[in-house]
Amino acid sequence: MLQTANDGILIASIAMLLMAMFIIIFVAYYQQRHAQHQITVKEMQERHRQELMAAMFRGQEAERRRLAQDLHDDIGTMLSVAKMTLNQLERHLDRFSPERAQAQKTRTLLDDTLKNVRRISRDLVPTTLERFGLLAALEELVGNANTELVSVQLERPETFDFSNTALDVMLYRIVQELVNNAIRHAGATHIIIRFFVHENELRLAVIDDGRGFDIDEVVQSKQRGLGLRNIESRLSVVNGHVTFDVAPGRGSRIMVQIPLENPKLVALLT
Amino acid sequence: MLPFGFSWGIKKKSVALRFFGVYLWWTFFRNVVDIWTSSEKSNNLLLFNFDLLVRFTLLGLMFYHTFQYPYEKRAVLVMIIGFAMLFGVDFVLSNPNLSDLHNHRLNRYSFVVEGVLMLLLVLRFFLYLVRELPVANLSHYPFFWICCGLLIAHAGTIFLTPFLHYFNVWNNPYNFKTMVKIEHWVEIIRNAAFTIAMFFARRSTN
Repeated sequence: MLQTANDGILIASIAMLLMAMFIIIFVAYYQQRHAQHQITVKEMQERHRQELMAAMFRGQEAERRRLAQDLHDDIGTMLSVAKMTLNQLERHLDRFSPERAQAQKTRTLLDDTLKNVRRISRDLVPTTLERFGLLAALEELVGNANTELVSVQLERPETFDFSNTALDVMLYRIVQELVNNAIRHAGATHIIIRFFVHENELRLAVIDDGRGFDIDEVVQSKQRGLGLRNIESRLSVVNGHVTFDVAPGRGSRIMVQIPLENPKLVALLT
Repeated sequence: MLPFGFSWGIKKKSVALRFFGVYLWWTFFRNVVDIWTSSEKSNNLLLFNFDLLVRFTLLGLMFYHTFQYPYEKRAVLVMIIGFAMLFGVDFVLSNPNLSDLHNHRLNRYSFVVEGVLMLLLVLRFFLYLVRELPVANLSHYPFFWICCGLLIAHAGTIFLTPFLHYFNVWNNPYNFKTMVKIEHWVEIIRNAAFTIAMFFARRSTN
């Protein structure tokens, strides 16, 4: 009788052990499958987010182009016609009359307005970027930013083989934002822009001797952090990232890295 | 070796894992005392019985700190208190003469109840793992391995222990060779699972 009980207990124990093993395998398998599914969903969400961001930036650039064209073709042309008309009117006025002085003053104002319209139009769509590429556009940006008070220096390679219009626009906008920040907000007097490609990765560094800033404070602030968030959003489309080596009271060093091995992501921008 | 390994970086570990560490140390202490008392040929069944209450309390507290919902925590506390009461009653009923250590018996019902409660706790934890997916990689989650060890150990011995404890008494020992072998094997598997848990718990905070 004891032997029968012994056998029964043995079979029941083995059955329980098998059941325990089955439960463990089931939990592990189910969890693994579910986790895999979640990763796939996350990847799809990330892809969708990248596409949305890319579409937003494409729309932004198209809108800028339209604005620049309107400014150049409509307002610029009308201002030029107004200036020509004023010149004709000026010829009929007496040389030393107060009306002629008034007309000359108006013409100076029109000249200034035309210059501003051209500058805004150029900032909206950098024609040099489209015609001569990123390196020439950066040279032009540096040339325009250089003043008696601010010295901007560009360190760049001789050629840039990975050129892509959308990527060029993105990089140009990032440099533009960082240089503007350094001049306007940090009060920098010396800015260095380093731009190079290292191991299939595009690297960009903007270093300045300004007063720096508290990155946490700026990121939390809705208004002040807009530019930096914009940079991060642009970079997220191409899996790039930005590093801020910055603190109040000292210069800042902002580094951007963009992997170039995934042309699909860059193509999203186009 | 397990308690020593588990104590590595204990301060950084979660409260649940700390309770598990205490459980390992308690088991280590019990085993050392068992070996010593056996070599002295003195009765250690009292300690062996008391071990049941201590280990269930420690593992229960481990689950108490692992479960997320208040109702689960309350249920674990009720289990611990209820089991302690049952243990006391069973201890007295199993041994009418408590001063007679020579004929002292192992708790008859507490072992089975402890096994069933532990299986319930482990299964509830597995259900939580499957439903809520709290970790991305289950194989690196120490608690999963701890529960695997506990499940195998208790599932493998749930039918064995009552038999061993009802029949195997001091004056009338039975020979359950295969059953004892199974018990030893599941203990080896349990300890292997605990070792894997220890490996993944060395840097884990959950």
